[in-house]
Amino acid sequence: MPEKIEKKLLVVRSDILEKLYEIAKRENKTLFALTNEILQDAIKVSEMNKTIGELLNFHNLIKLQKDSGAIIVPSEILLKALKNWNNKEEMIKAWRLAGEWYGKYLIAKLENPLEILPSLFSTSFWHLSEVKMNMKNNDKINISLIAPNTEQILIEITVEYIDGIMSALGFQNTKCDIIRGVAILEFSKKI
Amino acid sequence: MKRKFVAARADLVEKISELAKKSGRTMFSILNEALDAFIKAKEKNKDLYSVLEEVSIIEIARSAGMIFVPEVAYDSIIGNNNFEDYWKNSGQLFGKYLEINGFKELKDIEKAIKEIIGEDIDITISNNKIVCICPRLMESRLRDIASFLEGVITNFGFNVLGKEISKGIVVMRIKKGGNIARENRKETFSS
Repeated sequence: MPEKIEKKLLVVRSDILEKLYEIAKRENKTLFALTNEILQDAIKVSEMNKTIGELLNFHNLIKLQKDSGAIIVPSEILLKALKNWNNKEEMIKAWRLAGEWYGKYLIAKLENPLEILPSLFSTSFWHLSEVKMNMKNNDKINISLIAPNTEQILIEITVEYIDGIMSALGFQNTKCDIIRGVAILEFSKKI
Repeated sequence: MKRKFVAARADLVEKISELAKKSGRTMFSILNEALDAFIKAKEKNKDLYSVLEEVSIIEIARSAGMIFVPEVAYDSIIGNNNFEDYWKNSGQLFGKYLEINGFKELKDIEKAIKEIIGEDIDITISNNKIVCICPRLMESRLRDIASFLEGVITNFGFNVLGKEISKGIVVMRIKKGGNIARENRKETFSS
């Protein structure tokens, strides 16, 4: 005789339960089995110090990055290439153009790109330890990048890239301070 | 908001209850968030397990010193530089991180590489061959990818017996075991 499984009842939103019931039916599973699977996954995710909501959000942002044509490369190689490049102006222009294109891509893909920008920056700029974004009445935006252990050149191209994105989103740069490991940027809405 | 009851395994319910206590949230909110995220993932033909797996691979790449860059900007700065050795080293480092995180089976390694290199690149790894197909890539980028693959697979104790790269296709003949792979690993990590 199979071992009896101890069960407990949980309270959930009825609209969610209805959808869950449909999925269970489609997958030929019992609601009990499906609920257990989800709880097991939720526990696994919590072991990564994340909630399932945060995990999905992170996953969606990474997908957005990849779909836009971003690639993952070793930072060591990028740095070597940047240092070997002898025309700095041209290099800066390439990153700015890439940023402008990405800004337009965000406009095409999202209803309100500004809303998603802070989490998008934190998710995709792995070389920075902190990205802060402050919006004042949707007309002024302050962005701070903190990366004490990152080479200056990487911060500079990131600033150009962000500048390009903000320009595509209708903002112009009004302040740009880059000191060792820190960049403070201010943007105002273009008139 | 209407509420209903759903049954689940008692041990899992207890763990969720502990999580709720630790995070200062209610069980109701944690549970609804988990179930809702599961439904959203299903709508995108994903399941939480594969999302979790993909995010873990991305986190491994991040730990191994990789970063996101716009492909177009990367291509423009990389020019005629030859970074094949760096890609190979980086592949070995990524392989090492995969190994530490419990990746051992070839199909899991293949999945991790696809996640990093790009889903539009068709990669198949078997015990004696690696095939990588992506007609849109320039030969220089394909060479870099081949070196990265070589680095990863060497880390898992394979020797590369031969490598052919032509018009969007890489074919690498590999063999498990022997001293060459071990020597290669030593050499790369000491350099």
